[in-house]
Amino acid sequence: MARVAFTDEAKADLRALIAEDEQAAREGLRIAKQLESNPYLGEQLREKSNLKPLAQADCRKVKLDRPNRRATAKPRYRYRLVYRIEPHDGSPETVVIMALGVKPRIYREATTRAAKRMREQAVARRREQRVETVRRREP
Amino acid sequence: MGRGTGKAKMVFTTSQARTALPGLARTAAKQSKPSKSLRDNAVEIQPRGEERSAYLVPEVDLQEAERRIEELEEELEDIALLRLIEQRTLAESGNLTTVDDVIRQFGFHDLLDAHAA
Repeated sequence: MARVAFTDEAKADLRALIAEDEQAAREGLRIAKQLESNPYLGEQLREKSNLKPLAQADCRKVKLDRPNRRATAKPRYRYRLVYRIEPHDGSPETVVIMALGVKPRIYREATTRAAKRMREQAVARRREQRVETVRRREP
Repeated sequence: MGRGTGKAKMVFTTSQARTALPGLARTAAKQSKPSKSLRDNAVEIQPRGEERSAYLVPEVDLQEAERRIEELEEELEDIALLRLIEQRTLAESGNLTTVDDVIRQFGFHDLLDAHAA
């Protein structure tokens, strides 16, 4: 049996999910409990196009939703439970729940940071170009 | 299926398309393998005076495009999730709470009872 534990951030996610959809949060906890006996329940995070895991650490996700949600609802599973298996090679001792939350929120957090970084890079590039232009004009 | 660029191979006016429609639909329906691009087996129908046009696309190509979009969305999700994990790992306090304690803290005791039974 692996030890399953939540990080503080995952607990905060759970608190938010309970406020939003208690049944889905319950399902998330039920799945988290299942990970004790089956740490490999989730699918590995990977680049599907070349089937390479994205990182060395064994990070996995489980798609979930409230159990009574219509099978034809789109998207069928709105939430994700994301976890890391430690150690990532050999027999799993600990399953660390890293996130349990709404999919768009997870996207937003990551994409906002990426967008900010891209904006900063663009500003830096423009600044360099301006400096370069001024330098060229100077006699 | 890759991203299509340029025009479809066949371009019809609406009058031409009206006459040819049964044959075009039959040809499209007979396609069993998806093409490389959505435009490869598509027929473009250009109404007179309109800037944009309509496309008649074989079902097999549409299905393949939908499958590919789903696959890419999944890949994007995995990348976003991994970035999130990286960020959280860097900022991790190191505090861990066992799943049983979390279940108790949030008042879902019945989950522990059900698991014990």
